[in-house]
Amino acid sequence: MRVAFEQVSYSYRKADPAEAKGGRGLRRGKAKERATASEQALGRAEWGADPNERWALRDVSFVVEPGEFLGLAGHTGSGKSTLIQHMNGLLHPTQGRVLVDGRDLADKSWAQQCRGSVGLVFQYPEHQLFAPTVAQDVAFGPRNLGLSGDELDARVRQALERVHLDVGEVGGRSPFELSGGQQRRVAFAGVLAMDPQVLVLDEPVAGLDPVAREDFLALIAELHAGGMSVVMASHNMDDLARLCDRILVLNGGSAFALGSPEDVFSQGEALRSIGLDVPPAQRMAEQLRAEGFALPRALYDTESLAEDLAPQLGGSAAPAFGRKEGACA
Amino acid sequence: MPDITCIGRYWPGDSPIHRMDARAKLLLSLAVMAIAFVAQTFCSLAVVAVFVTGLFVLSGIPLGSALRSIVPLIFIVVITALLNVLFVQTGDVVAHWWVITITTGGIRMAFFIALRLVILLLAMSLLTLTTPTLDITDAFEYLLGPFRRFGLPAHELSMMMGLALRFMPLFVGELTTIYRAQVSRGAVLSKWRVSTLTALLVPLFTSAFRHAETLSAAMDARCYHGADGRTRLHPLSYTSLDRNGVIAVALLLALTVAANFLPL
Ligand SMILES: Nc1ncnc2c1ncn2[C@@H]1O[C@H](COP(=O)(O)OP(=O)(O)O)[C@@H](O)[C@H]1O
Ligand SMILES: [Mg+2]
Repeated sequence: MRVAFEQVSYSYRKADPAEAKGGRGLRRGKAKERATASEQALGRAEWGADPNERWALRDVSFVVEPGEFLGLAGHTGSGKSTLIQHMNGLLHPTQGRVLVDGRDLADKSWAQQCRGSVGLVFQYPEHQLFAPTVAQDVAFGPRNLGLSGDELDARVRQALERVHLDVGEVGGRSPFELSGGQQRRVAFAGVLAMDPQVLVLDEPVAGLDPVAREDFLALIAELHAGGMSVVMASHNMDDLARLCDRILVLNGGSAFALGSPEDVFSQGEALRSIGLDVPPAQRMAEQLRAEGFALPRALYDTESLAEDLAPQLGGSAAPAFGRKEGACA
Repeated sequence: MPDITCIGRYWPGDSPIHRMDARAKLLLSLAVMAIAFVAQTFCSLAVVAVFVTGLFVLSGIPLGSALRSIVPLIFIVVITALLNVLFVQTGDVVAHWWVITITTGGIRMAFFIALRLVILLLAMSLLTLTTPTLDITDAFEYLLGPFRRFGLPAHELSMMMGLALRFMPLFVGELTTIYRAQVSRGAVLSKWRVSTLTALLVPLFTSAFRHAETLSAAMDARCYHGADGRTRLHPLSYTSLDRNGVIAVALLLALTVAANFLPL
């Protein structure tokens, strides 16, 4: 499944109820007028025409190819969550459009159909658990898709297996008795049970302890290896560098950079100027390079840094040590 | 998802109205509402309307925003007006259809009641637009103070009111997120199934309990122990503004009563 954003801009102001009730027609009309007038002048939308208009997303274009792992980086408030909610039609662009497999999500019935195939996991998804048992909670999604009986049970079992939980063990328990990490797995399974082709994750490891974090990231990597496209918002650069094929950096709602981790993280200065940073190993490599070490690679992780550094210090990187460090970083 | 956070949202400012004491404002806005009921004719109601409009001008809040702040409650006005049109049967008959008879008296009455309700809502929203929530709850506590003698927990009541008001927008936000999350899992809200309803309400309640727990821990950590021996950083105090306010409202009452006698 291919998800394409075409010059998407979004303003929360449109959703203001007073505005909506007060003068929907008027505002729509105005917005349209402004868009067409400025588009004629500039060939694209003009920003800041209305000083009160606050854009949560501005003119963002990119494509999530089938099977790709796309990272979303950005400071708090940069628009990651807003962008993510466009991917299954929860929010509709104020300007521009979002296409899934070439069809516009503005089409309600298509958006409805995509709900199953674009699985969206919100931040802190365990806060959305509600059913008396884990199995029932996981079954909510597929049941809404119209499944029942054996097929439903199979979906629930598979989804729990995919997050490494056993239906026999936890299926009958209340989700509220589980640990935080397990609750998040259950919530995750609730989305996987809909059998999505694209998995969209909003800060999936926020608030987890270090061990649960690593487990969870491994789980996401596993799902991706199984053929699923993954879109993951995070402000942990290290996680993004390790997992992603490409990274989209947002700043103030605009696309600041889009490219491979090597492309994005070789611009350390630019990233720091928007309040982000590069992964720790990469930063260290930058500093060592400034001190005169020969470090030619565009992107370093702990392992490759040790590999390149050791000969220059007159030793050799112990592979086992390097790998272990890499896994823990 | 309806957003109710705009009702009576505080509109920061430094007008005389903003600077009045919250207790005085609370009492005077109640007085203005009562005066709206004293007004029995269009003429005297117009006096009250002009007065309230004047207050908005004085407070520096655009009347458009003021009207918008009462939009979510306008259905009350509409329903009341409709009931009056249908059930007040005086004057000439304008239209008659099946069991419904519409009379000039009914229409007149509907207009009158609607106008009075709008004035009431505006007076109420002026209070909340110009007074921070904390000040309103403080004023509430002061005014209930005398009843503590009879065992009324004034401080606790106002604390509850303050917390409820503070958390309302938060819960609206959370409900929106929960709603979107469940829609992402294929829930269709137009089909009001029990499972959909519990999928929204159970998370909302668990989040309320979660907030209650952290909040009570945070209050404990700050040595909160209820009303006894509690002092204030910003004690409320009356100023000449409040005296002027009382005089203005007293004049309004006199004018309104006088206008009642005009044949209009
Ligand atoms: N419900 C909302 N109403 C109004 N503004 C919002 C809302 N949600 C987010 N915003 C604004 O939109 C911008 C982007 O927010 P968000 O997408 O949540 O960023 P991120 O997820 O990257 O932290 C921020 O400026 C934020 O204040
Ligand atoms: Mg976010």
